[in-house]
Amino acid sequence: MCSVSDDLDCLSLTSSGSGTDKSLFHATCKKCRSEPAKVVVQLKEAFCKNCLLLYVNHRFRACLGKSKLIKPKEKILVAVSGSLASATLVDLIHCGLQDTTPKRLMFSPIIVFIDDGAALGLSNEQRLKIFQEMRIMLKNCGLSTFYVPLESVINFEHNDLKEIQSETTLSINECSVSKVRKIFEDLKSVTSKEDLLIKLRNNLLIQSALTLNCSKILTAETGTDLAVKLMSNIVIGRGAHLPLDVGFCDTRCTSVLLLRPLQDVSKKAVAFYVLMKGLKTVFIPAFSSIERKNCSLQKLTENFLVGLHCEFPSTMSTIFRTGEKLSLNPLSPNFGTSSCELCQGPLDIYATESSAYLATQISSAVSKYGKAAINSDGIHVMNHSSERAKNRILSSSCKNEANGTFFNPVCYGCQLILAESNNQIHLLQNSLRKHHNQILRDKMKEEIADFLIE
Amino acid sequence: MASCTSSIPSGEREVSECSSATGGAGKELKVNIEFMGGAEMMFDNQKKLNVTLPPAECKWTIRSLLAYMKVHCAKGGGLERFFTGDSVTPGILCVINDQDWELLDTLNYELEPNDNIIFISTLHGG
Ligand SMILES: [Zn+2]
Ligand SMILES: [Zn+2]
Repeated sequence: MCSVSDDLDCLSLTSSGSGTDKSLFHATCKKCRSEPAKVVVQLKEAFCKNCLLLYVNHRFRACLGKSKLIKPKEKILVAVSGSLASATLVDLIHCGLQDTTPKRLMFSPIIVFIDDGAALGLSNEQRLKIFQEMRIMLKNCGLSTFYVPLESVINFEHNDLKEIQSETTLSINECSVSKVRKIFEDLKSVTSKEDLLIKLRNNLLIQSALTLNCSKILTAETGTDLAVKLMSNIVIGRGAHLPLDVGFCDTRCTSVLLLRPLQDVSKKAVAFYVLMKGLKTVFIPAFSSIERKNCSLQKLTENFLVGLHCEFPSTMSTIFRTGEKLSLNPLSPNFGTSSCELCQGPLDIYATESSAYLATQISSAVSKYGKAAINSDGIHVMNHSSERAKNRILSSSCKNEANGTFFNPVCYGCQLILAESNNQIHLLQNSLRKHHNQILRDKMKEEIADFLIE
Repeated sequence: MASCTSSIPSGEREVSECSSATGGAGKELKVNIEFMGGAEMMFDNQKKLNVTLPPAECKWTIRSLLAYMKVHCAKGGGLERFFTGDSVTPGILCVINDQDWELLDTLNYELEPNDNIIFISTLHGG
């Protein structure tokens, strides 16, 4: 039935009621069968320290190796946030480069840390403290390390990328900071704030990668993160982009691929890796840190799934394995040829007749304009399936909802963000359009590459 | 060793009963607590806590330690982000002397002097 066995064979629908299983007390390691076990990684699989470190390393290497995407000497950007997972990723790469066996990692990594303090509304002192902690955390890894503040997304210049070890203080562009702060304060829900932050971070990572001549980005998203992201993305209207957002490889920008090499490792395994190796981490608060427990749809989903996972320990891997089987169908009539200006994902708004998307459009039009909407807009959308007509309507609806700030259409998930923002988000428009056009050019270059004479 | 945990449903009641009891071991118990991954936010941003637990008739367990921490160590709001029922919120790991608490009977683990207990939040935003 299912080809992926190692996590799923322990698929049990009965509650494990963590902690009541006496067979695990003072167990010996399942792998080497000699050392005392230190951590339970999977259901009834207890590992000693050494075997856990090997296990995490093996999962990481196998995931990268299997993909065959990374070539020797290739410049690779490694996105680091200070979290448990990113400390693990940096250490795995650091050790992999020093390996003396033929399995040595051959690519040349460049670390980039995005300081999102401006979006979170942190004070300059708080940001400086985080910056200095990050410097210490990354000091001993021996890799070149760059720092870029999130507010650079307003007007990205190549020199916004700074060598972290040669900087002692932060040079903060107060004007951009206040713009970014306004954009985020303007959004009503924590759900949209978290969603927009992810999109802007990705945008900045791609721009940094292009600047540093990196053709790939590695992120430290674990299997647990991706399972939660899969479910919460469905909830927040990003279902159409799932294979890009939670799969191993995000191809929305053809010249810079985003890879997730920790996808086969759980967050718990990563936490023990950090603990056992004594790695430094930096805690950076999120929007949800100061809010109540279920302040956003993403947090609510996370709390629900993590709670469920406690009772049914195969929850996360089951969700994740399901997500792995999803793929985008570029020929689907639901996707247009162009991409979303905000998130660069394929546009999911060229809906066929009687789709869920049109249903929401019509229902929102009806609740706004009453019966008149059906006679004009609603029927209009349904009867004119030519792309141009749809385009016109959709761009006008985007315009209405975001007060005329975006002229190119955006995807459904991004429309929800724009609908919440009053008008501050137009501050992003110029830089996003520049970025968008660059990605389009890259795509075009690739498409015509075969016809070019060298 | 006598255990007082199974008969008492509420963690908080247990602390009061345990700490008000006299006799027994009659000695203070010192443990070192550490927070990681944002779990420190609920504890005044202190990364490390040295807790001296008052003498108690029955052995201190992780369950009674959590109830004690809820009353004596936690600061400000957002308690539900760390505590759920008589345990920690799912997603917060507990490590006792470098060992996963799932290997040590979780809440029923009986504390020893100078135990090192680490709480790591694996949740987004701590
Ligand atoms: Zn072992
Ligand atoms: Zn979008």
